[in-house]
Amino acid sequence: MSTPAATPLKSPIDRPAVAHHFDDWQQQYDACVLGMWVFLVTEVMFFGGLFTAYMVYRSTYPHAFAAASQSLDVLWGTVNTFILLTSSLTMALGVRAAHLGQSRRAAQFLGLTMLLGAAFLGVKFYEYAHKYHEGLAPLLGLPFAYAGPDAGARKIFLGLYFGMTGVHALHMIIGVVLLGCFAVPAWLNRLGPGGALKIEIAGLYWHFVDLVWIVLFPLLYLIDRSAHV
Amino acid sequence: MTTDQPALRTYLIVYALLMAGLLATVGIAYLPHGPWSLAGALAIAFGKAALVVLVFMHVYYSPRLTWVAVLAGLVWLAILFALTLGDYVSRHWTPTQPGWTELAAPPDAESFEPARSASDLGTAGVPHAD
Amino acid sequence: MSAAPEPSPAASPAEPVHVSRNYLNASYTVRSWLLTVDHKRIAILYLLGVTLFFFLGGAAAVLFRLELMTPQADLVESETYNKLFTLHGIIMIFFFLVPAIPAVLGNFLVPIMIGARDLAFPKLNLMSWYLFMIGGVFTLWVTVAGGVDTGWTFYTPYSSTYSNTYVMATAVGIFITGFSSILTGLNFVVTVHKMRAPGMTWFRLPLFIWSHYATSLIMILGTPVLAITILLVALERGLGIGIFDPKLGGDPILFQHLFWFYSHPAVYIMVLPAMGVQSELVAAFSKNRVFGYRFVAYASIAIAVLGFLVWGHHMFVSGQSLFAGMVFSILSFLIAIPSAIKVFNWTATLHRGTVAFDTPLLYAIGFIGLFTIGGLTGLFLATMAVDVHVHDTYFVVAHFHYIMVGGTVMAYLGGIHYWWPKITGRLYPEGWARFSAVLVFVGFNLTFFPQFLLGYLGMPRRYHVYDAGFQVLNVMSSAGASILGVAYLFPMCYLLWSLKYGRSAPANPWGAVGLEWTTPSPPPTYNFVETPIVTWEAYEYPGSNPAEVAD
Repeated sequence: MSTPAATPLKSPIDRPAVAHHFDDWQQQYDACVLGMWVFLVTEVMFFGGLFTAYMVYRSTYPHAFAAASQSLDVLWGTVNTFILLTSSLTMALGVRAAHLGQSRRAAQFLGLTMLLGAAFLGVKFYEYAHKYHEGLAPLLGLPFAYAGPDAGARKIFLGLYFGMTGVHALHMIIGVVLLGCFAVPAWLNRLGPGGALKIEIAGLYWHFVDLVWIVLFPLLYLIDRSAHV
Repeated sequence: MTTDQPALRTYLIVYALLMAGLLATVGIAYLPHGPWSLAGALAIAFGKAALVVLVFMHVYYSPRLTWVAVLAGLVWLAILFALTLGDYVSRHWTPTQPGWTELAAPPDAESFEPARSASDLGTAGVPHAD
Repeated sequence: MSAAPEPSPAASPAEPVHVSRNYLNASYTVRSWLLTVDHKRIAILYLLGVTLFFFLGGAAAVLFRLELMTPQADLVESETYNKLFTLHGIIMIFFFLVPAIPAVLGNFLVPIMIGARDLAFPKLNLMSWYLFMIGGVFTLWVTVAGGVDTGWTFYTPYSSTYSNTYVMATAVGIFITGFSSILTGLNFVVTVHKMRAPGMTWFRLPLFIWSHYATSLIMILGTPVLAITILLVALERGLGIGIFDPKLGGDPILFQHLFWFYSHPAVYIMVLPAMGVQSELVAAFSKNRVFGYRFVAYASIAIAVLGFLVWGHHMFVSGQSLFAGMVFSILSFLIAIPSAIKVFNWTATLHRGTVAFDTPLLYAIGFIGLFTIGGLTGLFLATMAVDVHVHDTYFVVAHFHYIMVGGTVMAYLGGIHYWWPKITGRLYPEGWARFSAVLVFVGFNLTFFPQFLLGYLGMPRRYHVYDAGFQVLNVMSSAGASILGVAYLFPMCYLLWSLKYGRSAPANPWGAVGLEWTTPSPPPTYNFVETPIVTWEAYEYPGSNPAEVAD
């Protein structure tokens, strides 16, 4: 490992990591990880409201949901799932490297994770643009290309699609920025013992965002594909 | 703490399983399973999520409190789903109580999906089905 | 005058002096307050915030109680009246009742009571106060700009489609404030799990901690659902994504499900901390261990869990399924059990104790009576047939004011008096304090008891023009409200007075037990000179009820 250039101002990460109100590092570590898990529980409930709405409307309008689901592109959805699952692997490897003290390695994995995250977002926004051009974006009173009998329910499906993937994409953007905040100091080898903890916590967040997508993908893209092949 | 990290191999195996799950979930979506396709998709999604939570997020190696936090999230999600869905499932059990889909229906009611009947919901034992 | 956060003329950090340094005089700069990470200073910041909002929400109440003196519309027109009760509800619930006890007393006391130096995440704690104030500023802006008229419940489709008032800005304010609540809950949960002093086992924790732990669980599990619900309303109103829109085939009742999934448990966010305060007050002023400590502790958790299973009792007449209504009705009855356990156990604690009728105990006794009335009328409302009769009448208004004002505000004031010497290092004038406690009780009952009668007779809530036959009871209620208003101003006056002229408080003015009374008044910045090692049970008063045998 290369040592960073000597700077007069020490990075906060170089300071002794135990904050004043903790007895020891183990206590601080446990508290921070528990805090992140508690935060993730709040995130579960946050998305839970969206899934409740989805559940109610899918059970009420099963046919309209299946029909509207066909307008989503399975190929892009699959590609994005692949990207996100891979990013979870690179994230996990990044956390592992950080714990093993391999700071540069961790930074590389974090960078890779960020790239994959950006790729996911790129595909997502391409899909959004495509929906907009198809006239299937039920936003802002835009004209809706479909005028059949269950247009209302299809609008609800696509509204949920935009709402759920939009909130998810927002979490992805936050995640990419968050990883960037740790990737740079890791690359500069400025991660003390507190650094691995920070990367661990950022990793928990990233995996959570991946989890949401794992559930969203079949619910949005894969409804009754067999009946419509 | 910088305690034992899962072996590199563990991560790669999990990744392989996740990829298999992805292929499976796309694959079965195109197989005619009728009502089982949703159950299958959710089961696979749950399995993939469990792998990520247990290995990538280290819950398997974590103290019991972390397990409790994860389970609490799932249980409360179940409460939200179950009690809400309970309302929607049972609304049509009472013949005098119209559902919102009927109330909202415009004069040409055909432009809306017909409200579900009790038999659609598998509620054969209910006294009053509409 | 040590508590006011005014800067000293010389705005430079004081040199560290080790004689009688405490958290208040550690530094006097504005910066040292606005960027503090000391949980005690953040509690003071919250105290200033919630007091401001309390009097603002109270001012709205004064206006509409004046309007309701006569059956016609004289003072305000319908639109203004709608905005007044909406403002009153939003401010009192989201900006006073939810944060009042946890963020002021809880912030101050949770770390001290468990023997910790601070909450687990001090910076998040400060951030939580800023989020609270930013949300508050949005709400104040809405007030000035022209108000919002949906009621605090934001029912769709009125809120999402039809209302022409500042729904979006209010929604943003509540969304942001919700995160302040989430962060407080997160901080408390982690702190109670990870920061307890050596020897402070779960069953040695004061019941204040148990109830705050239970409250935090609700904040964590419920508040995010409110956030997403508000976001969905905002998406519908702002972007036209119609999730609840009946024109598309959406169901406005789904909004009510999601809203009450948070907002019913939120009632327990408001009252559980009050119950925690209540346990402390009853124990301290009867010099007795709380009777059935473990039952009271478990009852807090039971209330937190059961509180999530009953939300549908707000929706009996909404179009919700009758069968779901029955289930929600039965579950609602269940929650009376842990609540009753607490009331009986406080009474039993008093019964076997040496009771001193100081001001905090007066509030605590008021709490027992008023909470009991509020709780029992809650059972009426949980009964579907009765609810159909009294739904959306003043009976409901009276019921929840007995819980929230008769319960939470009484306990909050009792707690403020009880811990005032600890927080500020000053004693307040006891005579004035007892007089105001009695006045609050009288004014409260005169205000809200007539509303039970009004509601039962059929006067609907949220209307400012009513049948002339209801006038006598309305005048009684308004008269009571004016007494209540004055009675709330008294404590503000004499407590502020005590900051300058009150006698200095000793470390333990009440002869109470508990770690907060072992440290000086006011406490030093890190709470304890040395981390305490706990070898005693909670409420170990000489000659009190013995502790239950530990398993």
